[in-house]
Amino acid sequence: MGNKKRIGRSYWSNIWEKFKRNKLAVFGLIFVCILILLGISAPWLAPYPYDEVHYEAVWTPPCREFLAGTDQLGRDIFSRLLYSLRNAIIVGLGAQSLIVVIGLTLGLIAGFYGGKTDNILMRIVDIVYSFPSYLLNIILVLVLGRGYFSIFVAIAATGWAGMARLVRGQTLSTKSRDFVEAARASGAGNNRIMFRYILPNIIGPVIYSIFSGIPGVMLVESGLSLIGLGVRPPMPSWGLMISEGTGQFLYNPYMLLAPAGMLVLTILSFNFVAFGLRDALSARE
Amino acid sequence: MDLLLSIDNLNVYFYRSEGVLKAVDGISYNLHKGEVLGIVGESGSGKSVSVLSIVRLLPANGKIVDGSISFDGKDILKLSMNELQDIRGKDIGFVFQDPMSSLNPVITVGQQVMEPLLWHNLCSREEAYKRAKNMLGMVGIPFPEERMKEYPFQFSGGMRQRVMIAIALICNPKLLIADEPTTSLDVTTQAQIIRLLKNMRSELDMSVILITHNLALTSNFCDRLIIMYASNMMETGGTKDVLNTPSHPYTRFLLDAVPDIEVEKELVPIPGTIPDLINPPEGCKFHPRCPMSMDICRTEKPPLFPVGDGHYSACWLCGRE
Repeated sequence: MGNKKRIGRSYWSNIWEKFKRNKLAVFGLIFVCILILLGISAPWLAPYPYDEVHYEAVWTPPCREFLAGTDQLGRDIFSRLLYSLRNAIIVGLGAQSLIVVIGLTLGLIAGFYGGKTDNILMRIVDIVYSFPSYLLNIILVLVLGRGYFSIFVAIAATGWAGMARLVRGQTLSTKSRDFVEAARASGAGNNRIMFRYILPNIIGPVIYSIFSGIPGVMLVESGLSLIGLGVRPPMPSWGLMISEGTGQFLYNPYMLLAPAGMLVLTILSFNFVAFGLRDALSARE
Repeated sequence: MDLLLSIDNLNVYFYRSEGVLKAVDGISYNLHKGEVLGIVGESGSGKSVSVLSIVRLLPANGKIVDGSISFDGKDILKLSMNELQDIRGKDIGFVFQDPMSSLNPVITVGQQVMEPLLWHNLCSREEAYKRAKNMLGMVGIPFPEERMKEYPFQFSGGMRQRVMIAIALICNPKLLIADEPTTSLDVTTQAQIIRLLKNMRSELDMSVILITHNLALTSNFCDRLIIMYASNMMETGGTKDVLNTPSHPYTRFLLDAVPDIEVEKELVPIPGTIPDLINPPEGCKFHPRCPMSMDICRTEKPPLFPVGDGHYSACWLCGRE
């Protein structure tokens, strides 16, 4: 320590330092950023509208005109991939935000207040947890009708339970830490304890869980599309494209490989980021 | 001197699955304005619980079952949660045992020092910043302005305890409760922290309750002492009286267990162990370990007998004379 200005290193810059050391995670993060940018700019980047049919060019293998070939209706697969990416990101982020809002709120309340509140909320979580989620997803989409919102709701309705459990556990262990008692002794009320002391201290695992949950949500959406319950055609989705591609695998393998490859790459890159975050966040203090 | 805090016949029980634990068993004491009171005892003797009760900060299974606590003319046990929060941090400041875990790791130190002022609406944000900076300087943190931007993990244990003291004192409390503030620090830092508490007390003119199991720390800081053992008050009186003419066998044992650099002496451990508080011994709680115990000690709990000016001892030996 000298008269020199001390370099302040915040909690987050510390985590960022650790995250940067994991090359795979950084690579994943860059890739995720590119994917999100691609998804956002799909309407401008796509060479053709996703539903434009080219009857003169049905089942064209990848060439200069159609970068990833065309499908059975002559629609440009590259454009459809971009729009699928856009849909996957919308569904992934949308459903995941709904999961976070519900799971975080209920988990925090259950863990913080404990007792009867905790018991009731956790029994509800147990019920949701033990439900076959795919079945519930299908039923909900059928009941609510197809569309982004019903997909969000269907996925969040089954997905929040895990988040609530995680948050409750973290809240329970943070609640009993010394600094919470110290805050009480200096006059902090319940709300201040929850939002200023508990929430910022459990946010690490929550962020990890958000990131690692996104690929899962995308997979569920693909699964729904596979049986025709995802986003409404002609709006493309990887699941739908994969199901169309499977029948053509022996004749036009690119129809399956292109969407499947994109799905794998997207999910892998999100997972890499999640693992990097987990390692960076767990090694704090 | 004016009375600041008065505790009368306080009983605090913990309801455990094994049974009811009497953590504080009928304790009464007064604290005057500007006075420094030391509460000394072994771990588990109920010293922390007795002061946490003053702001009703007990764990969920702990209950104040009997007694009264009056602080600054208010009946603490009748206050609502909001009124209590008003007192906590503003009129009564707390310093805890472990500075390593008592600060929020994700908020800057400056924020944490400012917060009690803002919570109690005592001043504006700018004013709070200034006062926090001054307070950090007062408790001996070099470059307070720069250090306010840092996080607790960038502070050493002694520095963190200084921050804790700054947080406790920022609202200018009438009473500072220091619950073993030096236990987790090394010896040289201990002395610094006690000296700091002493300086702050005379500067801010407040009362202090110092909880410790280290008798040596009390001698040049506390005006009065309470010796606690197994949830009971054993002896109380002016610090000099208690340390120079201890009248309770337990106090004598405690003094024999304090090492002294100047005098070479054998440290005498107290025989036996602290009793099970769920099934405590009958009569005087100390009788199973006391070499001077008599028949009456086994059956009847001794009241506090006066042994000097303001000096009391809960021992049947003193009642005989």
